[in-house]
Amino acid sequence: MATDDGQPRVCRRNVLQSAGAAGAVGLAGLSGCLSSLSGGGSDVSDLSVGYTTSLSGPFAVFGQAGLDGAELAAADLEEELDVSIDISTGDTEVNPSTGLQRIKRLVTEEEIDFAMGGVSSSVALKMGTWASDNSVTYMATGAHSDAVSGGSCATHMYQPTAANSMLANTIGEQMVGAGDSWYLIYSDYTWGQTAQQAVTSALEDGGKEVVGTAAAPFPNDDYTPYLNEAADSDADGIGMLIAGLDLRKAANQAMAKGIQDDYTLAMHQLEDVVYWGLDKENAGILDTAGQVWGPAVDNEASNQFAERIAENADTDPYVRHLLGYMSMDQAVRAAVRADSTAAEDMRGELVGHEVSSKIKDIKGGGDMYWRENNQLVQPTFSVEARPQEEMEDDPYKRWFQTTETFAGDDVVRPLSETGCDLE
Amino acid sequence: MSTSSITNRSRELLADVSPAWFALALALVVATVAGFAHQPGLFVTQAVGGLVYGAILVLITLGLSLILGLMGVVNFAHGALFMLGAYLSYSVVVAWGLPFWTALLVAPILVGVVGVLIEVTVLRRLYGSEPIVGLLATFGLTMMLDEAIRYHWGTTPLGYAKPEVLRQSVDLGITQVASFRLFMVAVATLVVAAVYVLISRTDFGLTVRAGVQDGEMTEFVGVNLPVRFTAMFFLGSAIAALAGVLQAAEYGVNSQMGQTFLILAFVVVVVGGVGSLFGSVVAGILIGEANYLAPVILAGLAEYTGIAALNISGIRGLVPYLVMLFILLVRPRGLFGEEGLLE
Repeated sequence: MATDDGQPRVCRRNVLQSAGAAGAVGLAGLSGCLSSLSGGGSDVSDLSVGYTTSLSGPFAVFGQAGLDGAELAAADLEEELDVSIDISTGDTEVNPSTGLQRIKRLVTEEEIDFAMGGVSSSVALKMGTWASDNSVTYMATGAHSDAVSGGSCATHMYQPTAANSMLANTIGEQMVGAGDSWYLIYSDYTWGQTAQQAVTSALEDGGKEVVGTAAAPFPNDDYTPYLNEAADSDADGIGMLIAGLDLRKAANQAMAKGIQDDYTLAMHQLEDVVYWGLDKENAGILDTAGQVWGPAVDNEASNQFAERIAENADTDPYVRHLLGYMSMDQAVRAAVRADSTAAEDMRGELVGHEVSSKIKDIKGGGDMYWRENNQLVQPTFSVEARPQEEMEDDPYKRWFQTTETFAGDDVVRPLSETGCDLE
Repeated sequence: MSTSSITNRSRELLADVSPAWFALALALVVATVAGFAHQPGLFVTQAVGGLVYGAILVLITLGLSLILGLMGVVNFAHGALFMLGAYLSYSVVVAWGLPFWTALLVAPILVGVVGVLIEVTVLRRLYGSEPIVGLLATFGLTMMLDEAIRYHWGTTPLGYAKPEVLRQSVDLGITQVASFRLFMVAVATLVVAAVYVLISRTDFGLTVRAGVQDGEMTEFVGVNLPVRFTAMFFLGSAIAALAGVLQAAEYGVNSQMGQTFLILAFVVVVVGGVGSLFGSVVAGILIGEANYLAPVILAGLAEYTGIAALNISGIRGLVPYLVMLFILLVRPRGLFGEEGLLE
């Protein structure tokens, strides 16, 4: 590590590193620390990145897609910026404690320069808080909870994706127009809880009523009782704020009950992969849906990115690939601009930075910038299923189309309402 | 039996009930009525849903209960066999391109063979040992099977489409239920009935039960007990796989499903009473109903008492464990367990 003047820095991370090693092999830990100090660490031409995410469990498909996107970004950045990027991975499962162990190991043993990854907001918050406390930059790649850039924000934890409230505001207007009363089913953990709050706020701000909510455990197989409750509430619409592939189960069970024709169904965060497990005729089960990105975004840069993902990854392109790509892109560029991997230096290059790299075009254009609460303000989209005969499967699945694009500034919470006091 | 003798018998039974039990039963009835009165439509809908879910639980539990009840083996590998059946069905349908109905037949047979291998190579050597030995052995087998499944199929959740004929919903008048769920209930009912007949009404079942009670004497009269025990393990494993196939079609497969449902299956077995097939059936239905109805009942109580705190969010996930806790406190042997067991 180096300070602004290029001198080695004795940071808490070096201490952690040496302490951990010393605990295991005594003086060897000290020599490791001394070696690190003497070696500097500011050499941004040779970067070591930790990618901790769900590679097993119910979020595995999301985690792997993010990692695939990050690897593609690393390849692009190596070519463009003449840097070397080595990615070390850690499987967090869907367990905050496991996530913490993995990131600690990557930092203290693998000596990574900065970290990224994560799907579950609970896991990401645990890793991000620890990383920040220890002066390690961490991109919460796929964590959409408002807490990440809100009440639980941390100096060196960043939210490169749109927060729940941004996506809730994206579909808020449509939900307000679609019904006067709503019932919300949400996954009962950080992401779902903040999603429920955000959607409730969007509806109440529009003068509508949330007549009931149901907290469903996650992961869960049987959503029937919650759907029964929603159907009994006489609400005009049902918000299905259900995480991951569980939404596919819930959608299947909603269709099996035949309720999709009687209610307006909405979900603020549509991920294409969830719907690829449904029949095409049922992919349009949601009447109102928001999205960070997807193959629905139709421009040259976005289409090229999607084609490259289709060629290089196991799954067809969807938002998690982009989030992995965006995390790597933004973190590496910040380090290169700062000519340092020190967390403070990277933050100096991130906060207030207006994104101008090609990720901006891939995302669909529009202003993108990092705010003081470490949120990447960016455009969001409302989408709908294409007519069945227009759904494409080759060279990759494209089942949805955008109906409206929202500027980030129009959907993001005012800074004063985030509960984050970073400056 | 005359009317007066029935009345006398009822009085005797009531006399055996302690005031505390009576008060508890009364409170449950009042709470249930409050739940029904508060939301009659939802109450009936959830009651039907609970019945269906309970039947599914029964099917998942039956193989475990069979092996535990008849052979005294705490088969911790039941969850892994259940999961293996689910993953095999995925391969049959997706990788081999065969119909779901083939998977429904092939996967249980293959998993039954795996069960036979486990019984012959591991468990047969442990009969007569302390139960903990069998439990540890099957726990080890669970880890091996889990890792084998992860190695072969990976950890990404998988799924396949249900057969066309079972994709529609069925209108029961008061509510709509997915036809596949009703199919699961039908399969569960058939399997329970078949197992009951096999155990209670056939010479095979008679000799197995005799062997469990006195193995030495049963073998002395010429019964080949090892073969029968192996056949029972085949049956238990095949039923676990059958449940796995149905589960896979309805919910998909993932590498945690074995553990998730094993815990739930043990809860059902404990509540029903270890060793009681009938108990498992009743407990499965009871837990299914409790799971669906508890929130409705609590909402009704909250409404009529004015105590909003009674309407506990997220109570549903806790319900099976609360039922088990209650049963273990008041009747450690379970609802229909053998007297003295765990007491």
